[in-house]
Amino acid sequence: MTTSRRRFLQGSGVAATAIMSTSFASATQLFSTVKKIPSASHFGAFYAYVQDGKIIDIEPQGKDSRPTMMKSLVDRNYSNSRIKYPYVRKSFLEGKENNKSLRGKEEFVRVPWEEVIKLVAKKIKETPRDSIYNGTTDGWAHPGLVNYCPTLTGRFFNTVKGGSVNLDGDWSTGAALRTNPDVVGDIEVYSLQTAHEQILPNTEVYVMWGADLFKTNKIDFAVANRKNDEYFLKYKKSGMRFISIDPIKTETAKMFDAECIHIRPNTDVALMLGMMQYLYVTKKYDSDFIKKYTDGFEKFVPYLLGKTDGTPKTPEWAAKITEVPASKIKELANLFVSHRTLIAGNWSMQRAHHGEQVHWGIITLASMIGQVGLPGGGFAFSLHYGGGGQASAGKNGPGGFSQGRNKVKAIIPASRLNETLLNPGKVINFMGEKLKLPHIKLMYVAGANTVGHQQDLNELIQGIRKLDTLIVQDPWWTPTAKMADIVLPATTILERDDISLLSGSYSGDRVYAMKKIVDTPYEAKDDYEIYALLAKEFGEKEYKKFTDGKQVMEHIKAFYGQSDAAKTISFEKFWEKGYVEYKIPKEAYQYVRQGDFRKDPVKNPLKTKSGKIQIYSKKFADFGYDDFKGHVTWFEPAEWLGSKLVDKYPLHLLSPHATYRKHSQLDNTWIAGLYKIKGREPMRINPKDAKKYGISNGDLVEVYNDRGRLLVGTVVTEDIREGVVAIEEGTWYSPEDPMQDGSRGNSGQPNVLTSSRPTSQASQSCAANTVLVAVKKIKGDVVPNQAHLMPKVTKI
Amino acid sequence: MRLFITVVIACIFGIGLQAELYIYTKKGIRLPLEKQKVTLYNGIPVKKISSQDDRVTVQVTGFVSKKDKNKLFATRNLKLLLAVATNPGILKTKGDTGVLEVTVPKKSLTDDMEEAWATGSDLFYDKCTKCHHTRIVEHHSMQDWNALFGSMKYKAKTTEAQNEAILRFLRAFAKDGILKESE
Repeated sequence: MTTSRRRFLQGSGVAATAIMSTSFASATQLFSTVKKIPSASHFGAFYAYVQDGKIIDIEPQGKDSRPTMMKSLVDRNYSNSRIKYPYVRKSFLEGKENNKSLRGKEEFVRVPWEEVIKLVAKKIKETPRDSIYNGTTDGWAHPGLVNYCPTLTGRFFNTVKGGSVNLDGDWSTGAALRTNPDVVGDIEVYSLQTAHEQILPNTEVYVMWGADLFKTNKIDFAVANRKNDEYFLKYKKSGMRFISIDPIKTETAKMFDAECIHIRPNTDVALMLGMMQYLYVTKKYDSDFIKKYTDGFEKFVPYLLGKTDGTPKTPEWAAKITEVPASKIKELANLFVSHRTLIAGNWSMQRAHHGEQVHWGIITLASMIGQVGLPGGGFAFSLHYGGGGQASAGKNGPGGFSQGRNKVKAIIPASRLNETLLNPGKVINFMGEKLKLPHIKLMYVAGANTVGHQQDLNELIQGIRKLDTLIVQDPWWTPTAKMADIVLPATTILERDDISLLSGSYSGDRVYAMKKIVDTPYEAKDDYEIYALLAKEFGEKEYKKFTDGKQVMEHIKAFYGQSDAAKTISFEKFWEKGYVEYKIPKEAYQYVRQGDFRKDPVKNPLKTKSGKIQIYSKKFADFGYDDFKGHVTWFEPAEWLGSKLVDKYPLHLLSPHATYRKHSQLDNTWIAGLYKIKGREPMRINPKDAKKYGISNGDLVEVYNDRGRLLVGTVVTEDIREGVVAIEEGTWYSPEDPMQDGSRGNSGQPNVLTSSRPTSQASQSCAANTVLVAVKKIKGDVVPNQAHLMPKVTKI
Repeated sequence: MRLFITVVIACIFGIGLQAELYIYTKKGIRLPLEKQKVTLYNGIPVKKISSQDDRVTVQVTGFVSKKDKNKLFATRNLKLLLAVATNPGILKTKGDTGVLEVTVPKKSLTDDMEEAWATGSDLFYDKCTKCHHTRIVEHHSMQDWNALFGSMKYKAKTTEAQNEAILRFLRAFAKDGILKESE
């Protein structure tokens, strides 16, 4: 698997630059071998080109028209933000009384591995398991099965302590995860989607309700294959009509020339109800479908008609809330019932106050339209994710580590982390029960960035400063690592051997060898090795249980051996080639979500209470909450453009998924330079608003509310509706003055402004998209963004 | 020594049953008793009535559906099957409750709950903890588990037999199940 230097240079501009910079090199060096090594990432599978022990370029494996993000993996590997050695925060190491309050404010001391492992083990041994929070919970640092941090961390704590406190839900889909199973018998957000081959010839109207298919399919929980890009070209030529209901004109809406309905943020449920009321009173809804396939419609109708609360949910009522004209609401309803319509929902709408209502609303509306289970009709909640719509190979992938049983029953709903740290022991409502928040003393975060993905960062940091111990294991000085007491340097995906999850998430058609590309130039260790070393500190029995008595390559071979691929292709051949591909069976292209239920709801009932779609849920009604009822309900959000708070904070802030990052990943690479403005995250704002607040394209502005302040660069664009601003999630948090509590955010991390308010008492999920803010232009100089600089470190 | 505390939720439905033993099938999840025309399910709690040599007579109590009086379930929601009796009269019913007395081989009984449920438990903690953190079984109802496991099984790539074993474990130890995992 090598190629000559001369041949390589023919196609590589990067290498050409390298040759110029080594003009004094000897001929031997100049013509030294360039190795081509296969590996894979969340950004796609690639070949890395290595010369003299350094990566000189990365190219995609196979056809990939958008390899830009993976290209920056090289830069990330050699970034100045790498954690090169193990470190301990100075006053923590010295055991000073006030050390907790200094988190994020002081220097780190370099400590030898032997010493730091003993220190970490000691802290874990001292802490009861129900006071340890596994902050790695669902982080997705990389797609390798051996070094997969969430599984390794869980396995480690379950092995050596019998468990740890975990999160309930996740930051992406928490509200839907807790409601969809009761409504439609499936979580839906991570489930196999109707195949593109069924959508393309059948769908007449494709509604992207917040979904930005093109942007979010760039990455994958497994290894992105970007085959959806090819399908999207077919979509564009298909003749189907696209409608985008979104405050933002998305990349996908532009690509498909979609009709854009720029709805007010957080009012989607009102729009759904307006359409449903219209369909009901005009008798245009599919009453046969409702009778045969749903349960509890009769309990929902009185609410729709205003008999239970005095407010009929007419299109006119909805128009006042949504600012979508009543005539347009009726037009959309008429269009949907008269054409094969697919409503592709997203996840960000349910990351809002009362987010539980959104998917339920779409399911209820789709039921009234009556096309659920028909090819190209109904609803979908994952077409924007992981290659959604691709047919599934249906094969077994490689195995992976299991975590075993966790004996700690305490959990923290995703929105309640700050409150747990600040108010341990508090009892909250949760899914119809009482939940006591645990007393967390030690938090362990590996390959995740809590001081970034959690809402209300100033509040979180207060909570973090109450912990006894914060341990962070990561290749980079993320904002979370900078807050830590103990920092363990992990290798990057380019510095270790591994084997991938079955990829992509839905097609499951490939297994990738994730080969080590280069040795780490630092003292970093593989995540697996770090946990193995720690397990050893707990005893030989724990070490054997954690490692199964195997070395890394033995695990990789064993995992591969559990795949269907191993039946026909030897491990050696797989490892040499770099991947194995499964053939997609013909019938997989025929897959229609809820198709079997549609064909025979008695033989193939949904896994709900009634076996049908629950338009009404007695279980939910019995919770007795005022912010979550037994059927879809419009609740006014705590912060929205219709509230009185707009007098003080007139703009609604959205924090959609990043265009050129996977959450916080790649923020510390050259790719950030393509879109950052004056080193800060861009904020999109409508020209009318920009004019109103006296700001122009490229200006540095302060965005603020009662929870915090931050600096962003301005992008003035018609792509966003008036009254709304958008700052993409994921940029690394950095305070202007780390010594000052609540200092202005200097990088544009929007969670400085978001609220930790939960979606409702039901799922207690994150509500990041319910935020009002104000903006003002900055005058004078500001400190440069220091998010990607390493903190001050000293050597013993 | 019994390592685990058994809590029989059935008590709250009016059936006072303190399990002494559990049906234990080393292979598969069914224990067919051909002569008695009864099939018992692995892991179910039973009460010892009497014993002779290598045979033990046990009592199984539960609930029956109006539609099918041959099946005995653990709870009123009829989601966890305890036994199927095709021998008329062996399953005695009163209202929606039922009692079954059968004789089983001694080797098909254990007083170790964990051993009895090891197949489903091991599969769940192995197959269902590779991509996300370990879920606490008792945090969800039987109905929840039907939907949650139904959503995820295609990712776990489990076989039909494995699915059945995992779901029986989840239902037995669910919030509204009949057993509790050890502390």
